[in-house]
Amino acid sequence: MHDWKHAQDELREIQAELAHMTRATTIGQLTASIAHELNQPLAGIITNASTCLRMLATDPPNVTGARETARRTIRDGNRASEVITRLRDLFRKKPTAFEAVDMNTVAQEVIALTSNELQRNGVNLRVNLANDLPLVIGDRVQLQQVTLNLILNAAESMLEVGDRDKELTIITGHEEPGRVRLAVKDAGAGFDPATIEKLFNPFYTTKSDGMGIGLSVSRSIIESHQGRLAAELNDGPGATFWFSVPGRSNGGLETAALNPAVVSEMPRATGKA
Amino acid sequence: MQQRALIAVVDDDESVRESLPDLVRELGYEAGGFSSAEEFLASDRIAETKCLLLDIAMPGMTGLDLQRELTRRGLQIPIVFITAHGDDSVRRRLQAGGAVECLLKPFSDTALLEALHTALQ
Repeated sequence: MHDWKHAQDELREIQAELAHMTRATTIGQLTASIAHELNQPLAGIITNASTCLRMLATDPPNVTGARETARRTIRDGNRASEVITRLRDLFRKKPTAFEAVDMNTVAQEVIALTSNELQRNGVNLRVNLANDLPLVIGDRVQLQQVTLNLILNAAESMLEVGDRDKELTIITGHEEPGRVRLAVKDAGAGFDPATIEKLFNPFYTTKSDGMGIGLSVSRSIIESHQGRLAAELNDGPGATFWFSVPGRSNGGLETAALNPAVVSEMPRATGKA
Repeated sequence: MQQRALIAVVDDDESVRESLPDLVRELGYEAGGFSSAEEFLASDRIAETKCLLLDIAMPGMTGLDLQRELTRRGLQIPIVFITAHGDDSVRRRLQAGGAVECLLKPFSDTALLEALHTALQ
């Protein structure tokens, strides 16, 4: 069907975009920037420390000069540290397209793009979207990328599951004070609680073919929205990854014009017979 | 008494002009700092300069522009380029273009000393 083809094309495009963002941008560009930006203060550190040693090695030692070059060495060390901070800010680059975003729409758009893929993997998709959610201020595409990443991770975590339903639930809801939460719950392998902090580290992965960057980039994106991305183990099998971002709340909350009919028309990955 | 060889440091980065001449002096040479190629050309110290420690990327005249200008004037001052962008292929190209050496930041004091020895041979 034409609509499916369109959706599949869009899915491929977004997946390619996400892959490009996580790989090319974060590794390639950062490596070049780090190398160049750090070489400047590093050169200063080495030059000044070398001078310092030579000043101390003379007879009598040039203590005044050595003290000055030691001071410059510290200054250049601080400069290198500032470079790291700047690069980190670049990595967590501020969203450029801030607008009022309805998180239910974000969820629906990503679900529309992934439901076919989920169905192929035998995933049983459940959607539970809250009414009267406040709009959030954010970058719609970035919030979609995070949601997409969480859904694809959840589906992947259930690839080996054979003894129970591969149930994937997407939930939106309120979170106090005035925040909106989007959660993706799976019935997969879960994770070792001891490694929970590592999950969000760059280059940490439990997948043989994974780059270990998706969650790290996702957390950066959510943090740039003054939000929080976290994971917890379910009471039953699997894990829930969720993020929450502040609602647009200046005095009164503006609510998303959500048509309940749209929710009931959400595509299901598998019709439960 | 014979004057010590002057090594001219030409770099738009103030921290380099502050630190590198000190190291050059510790290595036993006289050193002067210049914030641009234009400033060096306008100075009265060209004649006594025995070697240039020359930044490549500078606003206005670049290090390569200065190299060409000196050649045009018939001045054969040995040049040691300094860059934070470089790699070995850049280094080889610059040496093929007549430079004594190209030091890639960060470089050691011994690498600097060797480059100066070569330049002053």
